Amino acid sequence: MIKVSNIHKAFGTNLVLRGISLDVEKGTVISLIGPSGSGKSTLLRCMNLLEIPDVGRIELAEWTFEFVAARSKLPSDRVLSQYRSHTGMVFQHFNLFPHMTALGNVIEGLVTVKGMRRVEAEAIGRRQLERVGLADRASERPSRLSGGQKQRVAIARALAMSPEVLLLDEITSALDPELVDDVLAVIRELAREGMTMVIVTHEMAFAREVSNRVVFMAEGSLVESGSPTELFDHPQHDRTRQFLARYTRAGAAR
Amino acid sequence: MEYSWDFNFLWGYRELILKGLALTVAFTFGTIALGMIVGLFVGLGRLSRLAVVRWPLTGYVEVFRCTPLLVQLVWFYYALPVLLGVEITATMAATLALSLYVGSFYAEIFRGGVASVDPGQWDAARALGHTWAQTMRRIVLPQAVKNMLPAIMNQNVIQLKNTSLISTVAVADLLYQGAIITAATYRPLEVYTLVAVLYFTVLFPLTRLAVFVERRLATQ
Repeated sequence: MIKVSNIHKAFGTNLVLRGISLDVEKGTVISLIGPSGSGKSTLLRCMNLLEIPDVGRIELAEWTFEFVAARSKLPSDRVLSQYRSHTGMVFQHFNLFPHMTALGNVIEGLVTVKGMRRVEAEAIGRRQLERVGLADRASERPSRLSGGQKQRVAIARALAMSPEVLLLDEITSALDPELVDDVLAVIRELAREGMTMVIVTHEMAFAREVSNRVVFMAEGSLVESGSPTELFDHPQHDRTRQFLARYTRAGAAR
Repeated sequence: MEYSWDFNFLWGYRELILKGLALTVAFTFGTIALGMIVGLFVGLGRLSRLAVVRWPLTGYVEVFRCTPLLVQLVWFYYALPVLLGVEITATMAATLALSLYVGSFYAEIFRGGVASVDPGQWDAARALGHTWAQTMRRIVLPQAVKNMLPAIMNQNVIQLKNTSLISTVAVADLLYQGAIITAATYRPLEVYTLVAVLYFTVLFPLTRLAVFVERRLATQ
């Protein structure tokens, strides 16, 4: 499905990704875990080319992008936009369009990017809002929705484009604890339906439950990956053990 | 000595005064429109990643913001024709100077307005597959314009007042007609009082509108 190979990315002199490879098979859910600053979010943003890698290769369906340090000619705005429209992304801070209603947000990509007629787009949009349990909030502005509702609209917005893969960037980190479950329930359902997803998360229990594979990253490198049982119960590396121990302690303290 | 005011004779000059007022208003709206086009392109250009685009535009903005409009007017009228070796009418010089001057201010307003939009909005639009132009048109500008509106209205009010400077290069605006009438009647007090009242009559509703719009935006 989506395959990234040997991705390097630096911001100025700061090396954020140091040669990461990841192959996400169709219908699987992969969770990326690791300390802040380990490059998880950047890797996710490289997958839909919101960030352009310095080096590496990205393959999704019929697209192949090859980046070779300074020599690589950047893909055009059109090609990048085309490619991105086949991936979906949900952000930590929702990033809903405040000047549009919930439904307006969901159909924006269909109308502007896919050139769909408004009536058809609205039919799809309403179905997607229903899917995330917000059919009754279609005509509300984002400012009148709770954090959890905003995030579910954002998920509906990404789903409306029928993406090949859904990229979720710490989508519950900005939510009040009592609102997290509604959002996670939606993702759980998507996983059950076979949606291909890459999830950056700090919700370890959720990652264990929903993922086919868990990847532990630190300092821009992939340290180890495996099934949830392998990675959470039998981590092979000290770094992984230390990281998980901190979460277990924090979990026990709660 | 008591000055005896007499506004009655001005009625005889009503056509001249109205012509002057019409020209002032026409110049204001004309140069606002041109200036906005200039300002939009320059403002967006200054946000470009390419230094070759950014630098000349920054130069333009700073030159026009940091020299007096009166100097620009005179320069466009007297110096530019000599440099280019072509004839430039007073109207052309005035249009050019006023549009480029106000354009440099709009450019800063547009640039600030666009930069004030949360970068997350760009991320979300690009992730959906919007091109740069689609992101601007559908997502960023609608939000930016809301932030920019008070500053733009304020600039428009200043622009109407600034048009009075074009009388110095003999464009027959309201102030220029006032000077003509004064020369013919030797009654500057009445003439310039009327001119001031007319400027005020046009501008006061505009400033009220600006306040109203600002309040409406604040409560949204």
